[in-house]
Amino acid sequence: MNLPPDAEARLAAWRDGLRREGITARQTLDELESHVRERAGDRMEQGMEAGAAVDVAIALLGAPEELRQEFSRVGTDRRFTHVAAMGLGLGVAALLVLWLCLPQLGLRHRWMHSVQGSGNMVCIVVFPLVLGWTIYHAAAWRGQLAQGGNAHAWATTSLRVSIWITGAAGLLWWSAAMDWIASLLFTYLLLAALGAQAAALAGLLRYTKRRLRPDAIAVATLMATVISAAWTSWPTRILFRFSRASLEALATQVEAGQAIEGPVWVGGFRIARTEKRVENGGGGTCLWVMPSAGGPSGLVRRGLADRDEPGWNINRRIRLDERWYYVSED
Amino acid sequence: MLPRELMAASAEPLVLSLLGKGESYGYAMIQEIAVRSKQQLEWTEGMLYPVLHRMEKRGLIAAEWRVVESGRKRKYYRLKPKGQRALEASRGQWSTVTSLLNGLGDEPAT
Repeated sequence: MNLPPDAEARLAAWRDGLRREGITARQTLDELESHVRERAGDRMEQGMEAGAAVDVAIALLGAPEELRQEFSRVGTDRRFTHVAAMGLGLGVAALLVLWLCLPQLGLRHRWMHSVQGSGNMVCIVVFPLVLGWTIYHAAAWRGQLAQGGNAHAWATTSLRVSIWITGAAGLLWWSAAMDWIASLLFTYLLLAALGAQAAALAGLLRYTKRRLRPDAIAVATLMATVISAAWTSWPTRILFRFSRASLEALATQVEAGQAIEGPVWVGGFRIARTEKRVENGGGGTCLWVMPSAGGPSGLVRRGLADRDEPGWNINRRIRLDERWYYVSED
Repeated sequence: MLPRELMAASAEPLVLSLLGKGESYGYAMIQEIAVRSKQQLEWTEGMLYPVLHRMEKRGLIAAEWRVVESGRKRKYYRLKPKGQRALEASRGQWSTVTSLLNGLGDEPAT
């Protein structure tokens, strides 16, 4: 039975109220709405006005808060398992933090020195996954993953946020100039996002019947974007194309002996320091984005007379065109 | 009207029994229980759906959305083999309680 527009509006407002209360699963909302329509339809057949019939049906179903409480109990029947898993996650996380902090505390034993490098790397890789595991079980313990409760909101939001964080971190990693600390931080961010993503996927698979195709497509697209960015450095190349005229002008100024003062935006690049290097066979005009004393990163325009590519103590070099390079020095 | 605790305790066995007769959807189950119990057992309507979802999660029942003739969408539930076994167990347990209650009620007071 079709409802008149005002009754439909009441129904939509009630549905929004349920969503605000935390019942966000579309299938649950659809099922409750279907119930209200059935009940209202019966009342209307008995002669009740449509708006009143909808109001009565909604009232009989119960207050949104009561409904949320009822739904939040679904899926929390394994509370002890979640508490134990959460405790395990926190314990492992504490051990990893201790491991990373031990040198500062002066507690690291001799045998640990032999595995320090690989141990730190394992900590960095494992920590986000442990974090994701703990977050997931904490949410499950609190009933936030309960089907019909906040399951979709929690799982889909964290999944999508982590997808975009991963994407942003990946793009920055491969396109921006960063020193080793920033690189490490971005690696960490990326891994943390992956951990959260794994937890969100686990939540979706276990607690909902949501179709994963849109998220699977998003993950595949993201991976393709990051891998292609890593392979071809296309974000840097695009940024260079758009900024080339301004970069050429600045490089010409620097070659003429005019150094810039302080960081300036040149197209899409923030140039912090400029420098003219003259070396046998491989000099150039350097527009440093990251002017770290230990190893700057930035754009280099090879001199017309220079025969070779910039070959200083290079960690990474991207050839942008005949004369321009993006380099990171060690 | 039955006390709330008894209604909560009987919700799952009653859902199992209803679905044991054939598939059904939430609204129809509420209606049928009200009619069969002569309005003595009227579930709080919102209470049934979390119960159904919990049973679905535990693998006792399965659900499927369908569009009926009126164009309305309904979520139909049906019993799974695990639910059938739970129904038989539940009938046995409730039967024991009923027999005990009746037996004690028939005995003269000492």
